[in-house]
Amino acid sequence: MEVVVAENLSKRFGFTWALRGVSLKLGGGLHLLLGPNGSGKTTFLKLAVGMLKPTSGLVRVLGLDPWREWPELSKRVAFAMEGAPLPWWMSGRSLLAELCSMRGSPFSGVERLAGELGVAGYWERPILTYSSGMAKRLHLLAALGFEADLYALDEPFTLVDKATIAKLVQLLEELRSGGRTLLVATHYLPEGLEADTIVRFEDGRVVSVEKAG
Amino acid sequence: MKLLKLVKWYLGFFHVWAFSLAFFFAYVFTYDRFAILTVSPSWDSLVNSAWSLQEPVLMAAHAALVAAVLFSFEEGEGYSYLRHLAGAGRLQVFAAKWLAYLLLTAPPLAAARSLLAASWDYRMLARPGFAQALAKLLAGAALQASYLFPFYAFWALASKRATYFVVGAFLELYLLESFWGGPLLVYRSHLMLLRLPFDPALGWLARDLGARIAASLAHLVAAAYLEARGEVKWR
Repeated sequence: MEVVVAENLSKRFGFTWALRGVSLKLGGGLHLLLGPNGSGKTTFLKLAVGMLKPTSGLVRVLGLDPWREWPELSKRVAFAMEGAPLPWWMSGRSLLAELCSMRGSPFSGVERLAGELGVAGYWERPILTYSSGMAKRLHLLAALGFEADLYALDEPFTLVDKATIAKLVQLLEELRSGGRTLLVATHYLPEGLEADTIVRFEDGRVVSVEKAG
Repeated sequence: MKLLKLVKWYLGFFHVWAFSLAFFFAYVFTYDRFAILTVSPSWDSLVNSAWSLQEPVLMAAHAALVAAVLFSFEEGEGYSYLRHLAGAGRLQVFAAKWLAYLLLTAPPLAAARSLLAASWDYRMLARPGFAQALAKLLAGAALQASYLFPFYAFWALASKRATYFVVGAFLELYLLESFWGGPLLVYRSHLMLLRLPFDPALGWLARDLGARIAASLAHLVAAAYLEARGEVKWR
C-alpha cells in the first residue's frame, strides 16, 4: 500500500519554484530524500506533512490530503523540522509536556526517549541556554517521542555528535521494523543506515528513485 | 478543550506578557485622573472617563504588538511548526489567537484605570457599582480590541517584522513626515473609537476611516516610490 503519493506536485515561493512537477509513490519503510541544499527536499517534506499548501499538483499521505485534512492526519504523523526556532523562555520538558497535552499523547513515550537521546540531562533548563546540538536533539525528541504512523525528519544527522547519530540510526531501524514509515531528508548518509528507497532531488525535481534490493 | 489549551499556549508567550506588562505601566504613567474634573464629577467616571491623550495611541500600539507576536512570529519564525506539532487546525488556532489577544489587550488598560481609581480613593473598590463599571470598561476595551484585531492581524501577516518599525513610528510622532508617516493618518480614528467605546462610533468609522486608510496607503505608496527612485538632483 502506498503511504505517500505525489502527482505533478509543485510549490512556488514568490518567483522561485522550490519544487516542480514531482511525481512519486512511496510505500512503507525508510525512505531517504537526498540532494544538495535548495534541491526541494525540505519543501517536499513540508508539503507531505501539511505545513505548506501546494501551488499545483496533488499529494496524499496515508490516504489523506495533508493541507485540507490536517486535523486527522496530525494524529498519525510526526515531523522534526530543521532549524525551527523554539519558545526560548520555556524549558524543553515543559514544552514537550504542553505539546503532549495538546496532542493527547502520553508523556511516558517522550520521557523514555529523552533518556535515550540524552535530552533528559538538560531539559529542565530554559531552551535559551541550549547549544544548537542540544536544540536539535530536542527537535528530534519532539517528533520521535510521539506515536505516529509516519515520521518526517529534516536533516536529523546534522549538528549532533557521533553517539547520537548511532542512536538515531538504531531508533530509525526499530521504527521501520515496527511497521512505521520514515521520510528522512538528508545530505549526509550515516554508517549502517539502510533505506528502502533513495529519492534524489536536484533543482526542485526528482532525478532518480532507487529501490533497495 | 484543545481550544482552551491553545489559548493557554498563546497566553504563555513571553513577548506578549512583556508587552502587556510594559503597556500596563505606560497606561498608568499616561493616565490623567485629574481630567475627571472636566469630564464628570460622578464616582465611576474615575474608571470610565478619566483618560489621557496618549491612551488611544498606546492601546493601538499595544494591540499591534500583540497581534504581531501572535501572527508574524508564528509565520516567520517557526511557530507554525509548533502548531503543527500540537496537531491543531488553522481555524482553531485563529480562534485561540483571537481569544488570547482579547485577554492580553483589554485587562492592562482596565487594570491601570482601576489601580489609579483605587489610589485616588480606595473605598471605591467596595462600592457595589464598581465591579459593574469595571466589567463595562473591560467589555468596552475588548470591543475596541476586536475592531483593531483584523486590521493588525492582516498587517502583521503582510509586513512580518516591519510591524515593529511601524509601531515605533506610531510612538514617535515627529516621524509624521517620514516613510512611516502614512499610518499615523489613522491615529485620529483610533482616538475616537478608543475614547468612546459605547458611542455610535462605527457610523463615524464607516464615514471617515475608509478615506483615512486610503490616504495612508497612498502616502506609503508615494513614499516607497520616492525611496525606490532615489534622490532627485534639481537643476
